[in-house]
Amino acid sequence: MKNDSPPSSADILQYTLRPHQYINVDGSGEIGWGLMCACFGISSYVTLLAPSPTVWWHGVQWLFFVCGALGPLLAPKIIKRLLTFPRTGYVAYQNGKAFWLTMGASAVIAAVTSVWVSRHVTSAMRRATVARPASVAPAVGVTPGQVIALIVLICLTAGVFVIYFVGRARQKGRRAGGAAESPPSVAAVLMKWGQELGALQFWLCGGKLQRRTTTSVKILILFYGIILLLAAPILGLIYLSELVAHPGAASFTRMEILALFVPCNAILYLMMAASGLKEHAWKLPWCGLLVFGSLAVGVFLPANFIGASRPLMLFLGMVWLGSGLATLFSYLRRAPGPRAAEASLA
Amino acid sequence: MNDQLRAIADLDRVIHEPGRLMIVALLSAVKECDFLYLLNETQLNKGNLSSHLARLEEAGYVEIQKTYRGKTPQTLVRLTRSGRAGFEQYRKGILEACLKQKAP
Repeated sequence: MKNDSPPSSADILQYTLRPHQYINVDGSGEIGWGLMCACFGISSYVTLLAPSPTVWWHGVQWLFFVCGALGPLLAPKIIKRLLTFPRTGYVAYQNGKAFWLTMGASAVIAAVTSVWVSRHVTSAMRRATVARPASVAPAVGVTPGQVIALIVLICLTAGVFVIYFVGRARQKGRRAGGAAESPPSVAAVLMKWGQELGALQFWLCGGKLQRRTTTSVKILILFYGIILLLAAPILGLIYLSELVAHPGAASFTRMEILALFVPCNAILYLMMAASGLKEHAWKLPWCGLLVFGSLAVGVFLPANFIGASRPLMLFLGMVWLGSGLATLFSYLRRAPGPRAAEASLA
Repeated sequence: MNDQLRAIADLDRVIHEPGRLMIVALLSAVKECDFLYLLNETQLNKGNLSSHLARLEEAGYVEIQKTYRGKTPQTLVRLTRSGRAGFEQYRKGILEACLKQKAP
């Protein structure tokens, strides 16, 4: 905002969005999520590799489990309190109606998903204990036709979603005049989505969205839409690789969980990185590493989905932690500590 | 006086000043923040920021609370209800002025 020109709506909007860029300026969200994934992975490995099932080993396992559960809650708070607030200032976000509604909706979705996943896990574990060789018959009685139908359905949903958003972007371009004839570039559409995902994170943290940016319903549709958009090719890819790697033993549970787990992580990562993509351009290829690395770990490891989840969680944890620590390091280099600032003033 | 000038003339002068507009825009998106955060985000100097905050407090748009965080003094700033209403009104006014400028 310059002193010699009247402010435009865009200038004001830019300033109202500044606090949302501040949420993950220190990479604390990524560190928290990384801690959770890494601790769950290590906890699972401790159970597997413990020489004997003693109380001590159970204690170690539970220690990692509790660290994983509390990591995303406590790590960001501790980092902000000790490092961020003394350096660049304290901010408290609003917890309005939208925040509590989102939390309620998320709790319901989490409960339903947990029941659904646990039913799958239980049935898969039962099958595993029945001592049926994994390479003889499909782990779940799924036919190729069913999988293809599911992929087509997801692709159709994703296609409708893409057509709707690109169509809207073109319509807006026509209204504004100028570059109306040429469709928006893929980079422009991705950038816009990135901004909206950043806005979603801001909204989930209790920030108030301005009417001009986007509506809550639209960003939620966008969120689930992108997950579906990514889930479709991933499901297809996993199915093809399962056909090659484990012919006749395609586990539908493993495919489903991978196809949803990987895009969910990618979207969460983009949500956290969206606000700082200009400064940290390396986060886009890092997101690619997260997606393709976890797919490689999940698909090519010869194990059932429980066995594959251990290295997958550990890998995801390392990727998240690496990204978070790099962001924190870059933030600490940019923002001098309070003592350094006082010394420079003196 | 044409419509656009009238729309600009009707804007709240307390908020319209660029420094104060930055402060109010930042505060509108959060529950509260401290002086250091505003200092970093607005890039104003301490004296200017203090005087702008005093002006906004005088107009009843912000609430300033001086506390301690451990042994360090901390100045918390938050937008009051009338501050939020004033900012919304200001945004509408600016939008209106822009639309009138675009209209032939």
